[in-house]
Amino acid sequence: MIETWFPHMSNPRMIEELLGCTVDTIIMVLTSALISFLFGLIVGVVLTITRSDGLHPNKLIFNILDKTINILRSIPFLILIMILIPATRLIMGTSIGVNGAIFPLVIGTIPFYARQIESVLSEVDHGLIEASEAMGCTTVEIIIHVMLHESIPSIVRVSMITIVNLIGLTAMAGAVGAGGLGDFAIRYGYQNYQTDSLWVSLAMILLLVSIVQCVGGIIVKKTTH
Amino acid sequence: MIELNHVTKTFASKSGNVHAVNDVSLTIDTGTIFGLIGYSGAGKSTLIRMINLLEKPDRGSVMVDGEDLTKLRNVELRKKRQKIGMIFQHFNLMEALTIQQNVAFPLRKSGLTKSQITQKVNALLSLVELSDKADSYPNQLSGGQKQRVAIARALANDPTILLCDEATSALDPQTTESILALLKKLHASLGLTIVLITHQMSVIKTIAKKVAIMENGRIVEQGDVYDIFASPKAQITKKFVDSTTQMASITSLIDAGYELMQCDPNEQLIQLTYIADSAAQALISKVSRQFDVDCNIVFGTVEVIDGKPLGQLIVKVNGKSADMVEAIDTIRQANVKVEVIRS
Repeated sequence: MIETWFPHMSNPRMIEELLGCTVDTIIMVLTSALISFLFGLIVGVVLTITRSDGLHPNKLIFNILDKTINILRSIPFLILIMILIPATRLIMGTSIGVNGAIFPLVIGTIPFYARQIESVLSEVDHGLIEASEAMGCTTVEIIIHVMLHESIPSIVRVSMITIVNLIGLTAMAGAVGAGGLGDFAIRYGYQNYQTDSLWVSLAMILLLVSIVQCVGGIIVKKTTH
Repeated sequence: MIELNHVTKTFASKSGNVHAVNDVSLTIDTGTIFGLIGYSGAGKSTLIRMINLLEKPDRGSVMVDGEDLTKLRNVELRKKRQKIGMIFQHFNLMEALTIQQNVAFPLRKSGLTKSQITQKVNALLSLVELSDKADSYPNQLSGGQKQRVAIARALANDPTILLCDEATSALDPQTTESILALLKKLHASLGLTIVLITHQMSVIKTIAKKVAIMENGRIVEQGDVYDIFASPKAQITKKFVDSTTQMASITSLIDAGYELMQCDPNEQLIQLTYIADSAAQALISKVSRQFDVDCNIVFGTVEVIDGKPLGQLIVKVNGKSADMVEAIDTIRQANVKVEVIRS
């Protein structure tokens, strides 16, 4: 029965390969998520406070970041990967495989995440910021204890969206030899006409996305008061 | 003592410059409750924010206890701000923090140990009668309770000044009463200087000792609350005073041509304002006997302002015109303000 429906995926070697690819995807997603969250958060905060109505308005810094983000976000990811190949080689030592994928994933994700953080932080009640200023808080304290701390549930929410987005990007990176589940689906499912491999890799991706959303939902619930 | 000297603040807007605060000078004595009243857009919000320099004046100086805040460096200003508590119309509590954490928030840099902070927070919460809510979150509290938490938080660093920015405007009348009562209690027990802005004259009447009335970025009138209520001078002040007494409704009755308010040729409708010392005399009946005039009391109220009675009467006087003139003179001599509304 299993062999009729899954002629290729019933092969233990294929199952092993699928699991290996899943691990690759998880590594790519988590590593690039961590790096892009760090930088995206910083960029998002800087955008928020340098806006004309921010804590320290600065037209120059705001405009540079704002325009860079707009440009980066309008480049299709597949093209971004190719354009970044020389830079990726320089920084990661290789432009293929899991390591080669992380750099373009990070560059593709930072602008996306920074924008989301900016929009989350701009929703923080201005009254709260005013109240903290009246209490004698410094700008750094306001950023950490008020803006970021008060936004934790929203930050978690946009982080989960970004991770799901990243999973999609890793699949695309598979097309240019990044490894992972996307690569698996393309190599076996698309190029070798193994429809069952295609469906199984899709199921695996859906499973990953569901886990992320589930975990995110729990954290949001725990941090919302 | 808080002294604002010729402070000015101009905001640029699409339709030109707006003088939010226009050359205002104001002195607020230590330990007083000072009310600042005006309609929205009068500049009172900007003015109160100058006292802790949330709003930096374009010109002028802000002296708090002899120190010019506009000359302080940022570090010193932040230190100074810790001694100036502030509460807001929308409470501005941190929703991710419990009540206890909210009150403890300004104490992070106080140098107190953890147990000292806990002790202090507990004391503050019992002061505002919210000890049982220590572990709740702001969203589980009512508006009045949130404002109590905000008051506890504002008092955490033992300030000498408390700024109240429309602190009761988002609350229902009953809750407003209780918050004002709390502020009164804190004023008495901690010797706080309280500066409050509001658009409700009833708030001024209940709590303030001194009041300034603002319009178009300027202070049009100021003085003791009792005096302002007894003899308002500016048009806007009269409006505010009328808004808390029943006199406004009488005025509208007169305007509507209500029969009782109409006067025959030998009649006059007069308004008497009794201040504290004159309120006790039996003036009306005395005058009536002495000058052969009939006095029909149409309406009367007694307000208690700052602990002193302020009486107002609308009287229809009927008699010979010479007698009426003498009668009114006699009343005036007894230190009662007389205004002839209609003759």
